[in-house]
Parts: sequence; C-alpha cells; structure tokens
Amino acid sequence: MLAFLARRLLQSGLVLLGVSVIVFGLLHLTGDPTRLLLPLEAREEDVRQLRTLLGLDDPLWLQYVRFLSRAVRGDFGLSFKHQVPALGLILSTLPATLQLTVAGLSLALIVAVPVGILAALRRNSLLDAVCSVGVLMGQAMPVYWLGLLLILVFAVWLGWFPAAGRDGLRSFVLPACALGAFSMARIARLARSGMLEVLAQDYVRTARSAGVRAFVVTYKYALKNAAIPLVTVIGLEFGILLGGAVITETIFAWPGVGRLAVDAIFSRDYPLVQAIVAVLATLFVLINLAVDLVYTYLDPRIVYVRSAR
Amino acid sequence: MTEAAAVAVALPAVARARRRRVSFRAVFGITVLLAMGGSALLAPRLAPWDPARQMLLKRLRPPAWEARGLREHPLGTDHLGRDILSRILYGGRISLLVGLSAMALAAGLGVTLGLCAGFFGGRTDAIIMRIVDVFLAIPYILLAMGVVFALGPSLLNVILVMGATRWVQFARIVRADVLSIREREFVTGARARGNRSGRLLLRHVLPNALTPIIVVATLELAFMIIYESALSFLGLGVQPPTPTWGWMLADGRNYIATAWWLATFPGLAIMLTVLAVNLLGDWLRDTLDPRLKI
Amino acid sequence: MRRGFRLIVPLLTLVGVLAVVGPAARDAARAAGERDVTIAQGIDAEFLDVQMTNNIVTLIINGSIYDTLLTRDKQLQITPRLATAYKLVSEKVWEVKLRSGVKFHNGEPFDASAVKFSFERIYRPDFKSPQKGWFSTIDRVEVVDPTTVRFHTKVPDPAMPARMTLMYQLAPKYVAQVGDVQANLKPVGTGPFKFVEWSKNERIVVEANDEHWTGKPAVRRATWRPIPELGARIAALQTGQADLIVNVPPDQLPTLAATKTVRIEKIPSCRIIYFGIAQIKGGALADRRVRQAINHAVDVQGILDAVLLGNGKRINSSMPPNVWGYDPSIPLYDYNPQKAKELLAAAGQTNLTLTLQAPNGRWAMDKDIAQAIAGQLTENGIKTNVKIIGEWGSYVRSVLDHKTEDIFMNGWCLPSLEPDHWVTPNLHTGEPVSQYSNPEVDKLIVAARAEMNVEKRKQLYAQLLRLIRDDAPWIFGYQQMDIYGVNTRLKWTPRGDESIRLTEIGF
Repeated sequence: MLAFLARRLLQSGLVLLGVSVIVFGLLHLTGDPTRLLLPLEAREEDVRQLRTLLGLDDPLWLQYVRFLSRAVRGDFGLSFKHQVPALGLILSTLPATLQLTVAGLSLALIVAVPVGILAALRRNSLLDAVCSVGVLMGQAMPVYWLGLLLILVFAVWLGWFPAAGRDGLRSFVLPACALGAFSMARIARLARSGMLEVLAQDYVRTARSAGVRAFVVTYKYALKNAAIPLVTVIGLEFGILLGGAVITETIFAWPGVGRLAVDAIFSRDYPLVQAIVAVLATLFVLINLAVDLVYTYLDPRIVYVRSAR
Repeated sequence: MTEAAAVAVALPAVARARRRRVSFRAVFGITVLLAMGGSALLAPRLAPWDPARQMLLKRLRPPAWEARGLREHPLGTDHLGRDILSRILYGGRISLLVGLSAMALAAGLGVTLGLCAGFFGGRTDAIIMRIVDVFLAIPYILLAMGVVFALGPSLLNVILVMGATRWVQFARIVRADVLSIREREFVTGARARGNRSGRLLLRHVLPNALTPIIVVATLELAFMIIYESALSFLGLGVQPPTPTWGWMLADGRNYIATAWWLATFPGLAIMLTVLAVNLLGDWLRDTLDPRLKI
Repeated sequence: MRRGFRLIVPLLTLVGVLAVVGPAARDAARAAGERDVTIAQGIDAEFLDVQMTNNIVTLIINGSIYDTLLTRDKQLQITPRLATAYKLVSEKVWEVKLRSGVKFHNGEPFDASAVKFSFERIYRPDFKSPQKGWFSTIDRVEVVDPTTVRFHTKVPDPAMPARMTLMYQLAPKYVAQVGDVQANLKPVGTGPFKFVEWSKNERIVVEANDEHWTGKPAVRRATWRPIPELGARIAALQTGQADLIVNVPPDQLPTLAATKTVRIEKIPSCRIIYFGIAQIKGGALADRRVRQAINHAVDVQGILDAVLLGNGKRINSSMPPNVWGYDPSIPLYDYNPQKAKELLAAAGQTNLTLTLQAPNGRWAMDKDIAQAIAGQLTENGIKTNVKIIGEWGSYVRSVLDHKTEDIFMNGWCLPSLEPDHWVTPNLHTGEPVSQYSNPEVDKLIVAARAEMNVEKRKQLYAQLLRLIRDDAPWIFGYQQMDIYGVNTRLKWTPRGDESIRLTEIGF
C-alpha cells in the first residue's frame, strides 16, 4: 500500500514537471509581449530595456531553470498586465471557478446518474432512447449557444435568474446548467453501462428470481458497485469542466480563473498564463491522486488493477 | 464479441428483443451522417449562392416561410446579406473536414503511442503514460488557445492543435486493450513462431484492438465538431470568409433574439451531426463491446 | 470497506454543497438602493492607479475617483477643475492657479506639491506608466506657492491646456506611505466618488464623496461591472441588473427597442475609423492616383447605411468634428467607380490585387465593414482579400511594427482631444502608427504643432487636413456613433469623448 502511494506521488511529481516544460516551451512560441506593455510612442530602447528587465534575452534553458526554481516556491512573478503577483491573483479568483465547477458537476450528477440507471433498467425501451437522446442533446450543443439560450429564456423572458455575474445563490443556476450539460451525457452513459454490467451478473439474476425482497437488497448492492467507476470519472470530469469553464465564465461574466486565462493568453501575459496552467494542472493531479486514494481505501484489490492501468 | 454473446444467451428476453428491433440509434446516426456528408460533398451543386457573396441590400432577411422572407433565400440571409443555406452547405464541408482530420490525427498519434505503451510495457509504457497524464492535466482548451494563438489561426493550425490535444483519449483506451490482448494465446503463439515486434503489432494486435478505436473515433469526431465551434467563439477558429458551422454560430450568437436564423441553423446542424455521431458511437459500443468504460 | 463508502459519498456531497452555498450566500450583493447605479462595460479596469493606464475603460472608472487639473465640459470645452486659472507667463512657461480647500479622500490636503509629485511619478524610471508620452513636452514642474505651480516646457506647446485635462492628481503622502501596489488596490483621489471595493473581473464599487466641492452627487453608490459577452450585457440591461451599458452595436437596437425600461442614447464619437493604406510599401500604393481610386471605389455611405444602419458619419480628412481644428469645408470623396477605373488606368494599375486586414470585435461590426469594403473594391476592379486578425495584441503589433497588409483598418481617439495627436502619430513619417511619408505633410504637422497663435494654428490645420485629403493616405472612413443603453429611471446623456461621468447622472 505504502509502495503504491509512494509510486503515485512520484508519478504526480513527474507529471507536474512535464507540465512545466510544456507550459514554458509553449509560451515561448508566442510573440513578444513587450509591445503591448509600452505606449504607442515607445522607442526601441524602451522595448529593449523592458526585455532585459523581464529577462527575455537570456538563453531558453536558463529562463526555464529560473522559472522552475521560482515556481516550486510559488513565485510566478508579477502578472505583466495587472502588475500584481501572479499566484496571488489566481488564488483569489480560483474559489469562484471551483464553486462553479462543483455546482456544475453536482448538477450533472444529480440529473445524469438517475437517468443513466433508469435507462439501464429499461434497456432498449423507448424510455432508454428518450433518456439517451435527451442527455446527449446537452452534449451536442456548443456551450456558449446553450448559455445564451438559457440567458434569453430564463433571465430575459422569464426573469427567474440573473443574466450574468456572481450575486448570490440564484446566479449559480444558469452557469451551472450550461457547464454541467456537457458532462451529463458522459456520466449518464457510465451509470447506464455500469448498471447494465452489474445487472448481468449472476448474483443479481439469482436475486431477481428469488423474489422481491431479496432483489431489493441486492439491487442496492448492485447500485453501489455500479457507482465505483463514477468516482474515477469525477476526477477526469473535473479537468474537462475546468476547460468548459473558460467559455461559461466568459458568457456569464463569472469572475473566475477561466476568464482570467482567456484575458491572459490574449494579452500575452506570460507569468499569469504559466501560473494558471500550473495551478490548474496541479489541482487536477491532486484531485486524481485523492480519487485514487479513496478508491484504494474502498477496495484494495483495485491497487493491482490500477497500477496496471 | 464473445462477452456480448454470452450475455445475450444468459438473458433470453433481452436477446430476443435485441435481435428483433433494429437499433434506432444506428439508423438515425447513419442516416444523418450520410445526409450531412452527402450535402457537404455536393455543396457546390446544391448551394444556390456563393457563400462569400455579400448582398448588403438583402441583409438579415428571415427564412422564406416568414413574412419578410425571400424565396431565393430559403433559410434567410445573414448580417452581410450572405445566403445562409449556401453557407451551411459549404460550412459543413469545412466543419466535417476539420472534425475528421483532427480526429484522424488524434487517432494516429494516440493509437501509435497506445500500442507502443501497451505492447512494449516497462519503461516505454511508463514514459508514455506520464506524457498522457501531462496532457490530461493541462486543460485542453487553454493548451489549444495558447498554441493557436502562437501559431496564428488557420485551417491547418486548428486541425493540428485539436488533434494534438485529444490524442490522449485514444492512447489510453488502446493501451488498456493491448495489455489484455497481448497475453492471449494467438499472440504468444505468433511470438513463439518468431514474429518480430513490429509485425506482431500490426498484424495480430492491432486488428483486435480495433473495436475500442472505432468507438472512441466516433465519439471524438463528435467532440471535435463542438471543439471547433468553441475555438471559433474565442476567435481562434478557422478565419473568415471561409464559412464553418462554428464560426456561423459564434457570429450569429448576438442575433439570437432578433435574427434567430443566423445562429439556429448552424447550431442545429452542429447539434444534429454531433447527436448522430454520438448515438452511432453508443450503438457501436453496445454492439461490439458493452463493457467498454468510456 | 463498503460501509465506509456509504458514509463518504454523502459526506462529500455535503462538503461540496457547503462549499458552494456558503460563500455565495455571503457574497450576495447588498440590496441596490434607489440612488444606486450599475454600469456594465466590456472589460474590468486594468488598474485603479490611474497613472498606470491609457485604456479608455480604465480611465472612465478612475475618473470617478481622481480629478484632473482641467477638464472638458459637456460641449468638450476646457474648463477649470483642480486648477482654477492658467496663463502663459512666457513662451515656455505656464502658470497655473490651484483650487484651495480641496482634500484627498484620506484627509490629506491637495496643493502644489501634489501636482509636482503626480507629474514626477509618471517619469520615475522604474514606474511603468504608458502616460509618459502624454507630457513629454514638459521639462519640469515648479512649485511657486501652495496654490500656484509653473510648468516649464521644452518647446512652445499650445497643447498644454489639453494636456492638463489628463493630469490626474495623486496624494503624495498616501502613495509614499502605502507604496505603488496598495495605491493601485486601494486608490485615493480627490474625486466626487470614493473607492469602496474592487473584486477583480467582478465589480468595482464607489460611493459618493459628499465633501466634493462640486456638491453632493445625485448618485449615492455606483458599481462598475465587466460583462464581456455582448448578449449577456444586453440581457443585464433588460433585466435591470445593469442601468447603463456601453458599445451597443446598431444591430442590437431592435432588441432593446422592445424593452420598455430601456432607452437608447447616441452621440457622435471622437473615435474615427479609417483604413490606412501602407504607402511606404511602395509600388502601386505609392501612387496617389491609386489611393484616390481606392477612395472612389468604395461607397462608404452605402456601407454605413447597410451595416451600421446609418450609425456613423463620414469623415472628410483625418479629424472628426469633435476635435478643434476640424474643417467642415473639405469635400468627401464621392462614390464613383468610373472615375476609379480611369485613375487606375492612368496609373497603369488595371490588375491590382490587395489585401485588407481588420480585427474582430474591437470596434462595432469591424470585420463586417472590412468585408463589405473588400467586397466592394473587388466588384469595382480592385481584387481585395480580407485577413481578419482576431487577436488584438497581434493586430496592434502588426500596426506598430509597420508589418501590416496593404490596407489596415484602424480606429483612433485620444482622450486629450488635442489636434496634433490626430495627425502626428498616424501620418507623420516614421511614427509608430503611420505607414505614410510625405515631406510636405510633415512640414505642416510640425509647424501647426508649435504655433502659439490660435488663428494661425487653425489655418495651418485646415491647410494640413486638405492636403491629407487630397493625398489620400487612407480610405477615409467614418466617425463612430457611440450607442449606449440606459435604464429609463436614469437621467443621463452621453459625452462626445467616450467618457462617462457619474456626476452627470441624475434620476
């Protein structure tokens, strides 16, 4: 068990290192941010001065080492655009994104799991088809289209929810719907297939023929087992949701990291983009690590299976 | 295939139902895809107008069946007076082209890496899986934005970027499958007969891993179409005047309340296509290997 | 083991829900009062340290917290603000009298030392201010007495009053005490509104400063919200979440017309949109006849009517009517495809192919207008391809580096409203935004810049503008119409300098 834990930690560390390399390398493919930071009348010397000040003239590997040594201490430098420490800026906006992501994921789970299970129980019936299609429609609509339609119908026409911004509980609903819709299909599908697999097994069939009460008892057991793969999925879905949050936050004017990221990329704010990707990747790795730990706690046999993953 | 058959035998009622009913999903999926694909291929023949032609005097005309609509523009015109139907037809070509190419790229990359990881195991596997984890950890959209931004938005760059950020899905599933396949008799048998690794991979392992690849491919195709529209929304998709469904939807989104046809038709096109592909993928998975956990 | 699972799931759900509900309930905005206003713009303020920015949205927000020495009234005439009077003592020395009894929001008194401090701060070598270019003609500030300062300029500078409308005043003791970072996060000025809170990308809240010498503002509390997505911004106005929104594109007017609680306010902007022709590239573009032909081959009015629904006014040269120096007698280019063909033939350029570049979403319907113009040029014999550069940073860079396509779309307005700023940066040889070179034009620009006699200066500009018009370094586009959506409970009309003043809002 301990060996497994140690190995997972090492893996996570390597992953983060890899992330840092990619992030660093990627951003040096982009153009020169100095022009954006200086006024229209800037002379060449001003540009050169800024480049030296920001260390953009040194060899790449040196810049990378410098970046990495500071990053592990949490120092991602000052955001070019906002002139405040990048990490602090992200940490202050992260809660908003996390709240939205949790809300979206919760909503997706609340809707999709029952739908999936229902579909499994009535396999190949009309209900199954309707559920599949319904949930898939959420995944088939581009998020921003869905978001804008939600705003139009529920905010402007019906006035039930605010159109944008984060202002109390009601403002969570529309963005969470838009964000969660995409995950609903995947979660429902997993719930359905997990349930189907469990239902096909011997003990369930036996219970079914043994009578109602026995069936109900084993049915609950079956449900729980079908839920296990969902736990893994939550970790992965989180990553996907963070990606979808970028667009949702822009539409709903949500003050989260997604918007910050879009802004940062478009204004070539090197330190901020690096810090955002680093933070989000770390978050993702930590969450999946946690999921793995919960998993192994629940069922140590999985250790063997997952290490062969 | 064997597992599915076993289930079918064990649950007679379900099996009979299965054999009786032709899957609605398969039919729907294939029909829509054929329609979309067909109209995309035949766009030059079918489209009444040049999709880039601006007719400023006829801008924002509603579809033909509405009061202010015009017969020659069945689905209306956009804010520059371009015919929507023609743009949908031509847009389909690009959107489907982008989707298929990106998916093919992702598949190519992912399958190759997944095969190597699963088959060779050991250090190769560890390295490849760590790379997979790295790509999983970084939010794909931020990665895509960063790259497209750096290289400039163009048809090629968009395809490259989309493929390069989604190969992971293929790699993981192929690897898992290969891991189980490689211990099977026919592989060990072939090996004993002295087949070299490469040949072994291609001739014996790959064909058996095809099932999950196909399923993932269909699902990823659907994803790519949505992905393209997301990049267009951010202004980083394929640039105008080349019409794509994603761009049309992104452009039309400010007219949802007034000129609804600008966004609704491309939106429906995307939705129907994605739905069809997803349903098809679902059906394929159910038929070929229901235990696949995707 | 399984039992553990039973507990974990509901526990996690509870934690998750609490994580969501808790902070959300706490953040619920305080109920908006009758005299509170919410203004939604497209982006958040970059800084609340007004000297760190030259961005119009940020300046608008900062303008409620800080005062300038002089300001412009509703008719855009220069009037006193923190400075009550100014006069030329000698050709290069301006003496300015300051208002007495003014205090910063933290109680610190405003006096001449604040003026000196504010000016010198911009030019501190380690201070990254984009405003360094605004006051580059000023050599130094001399404190004569607590209510009098003298500006010594390097050259005779008739634009000084205009520059003084951009001199925002900071509190010396406060900034020295808390440092630059805190001065940005918790700004202190002398303005009619005091800073309350800044939640990045979410809202900036200011409240009325009743001690301001202009009197108690009618607005008690104002919230500035950044809502980047146009659809959401308009929806916010329709639902009453926002009372005032900016940059409404003409196509959205029908949506708002249907909403009873909303009215539309329009005003011709100081911002002009033009299509620069990169004359310095040489070849066909260096020939004035070709450039004139291009102007004759585009029906700007028709495109304005079709795409902007008439919300734009053609410009005859490089200045809009809002800027002093404008000459209404200069003729517009008429739409004359025949003449265009003749000019092209005379220049020997009958098979011309050009590329036009435009941004996406920077100005109202920008890429659509660009496409319309390119389409029209193509129809009239000049095959024109369009290149849309969606990302604003690259776009700016291509312009500043002089690496644009043959024709590049550009918008222009500087808050100083100083005439020289409308010709030097865009048309003088070698300037950052200029891809044009004409020694005659350069001579006139320099002469007009330094001419202290008002009448003579006006004549010089008239001459200059006519020369520019005839030499056609641009496709002369249009003056934008700034369109705002306002809630009917507000009494407010817009300003011609793109600014929004909270003190101008009533009920």
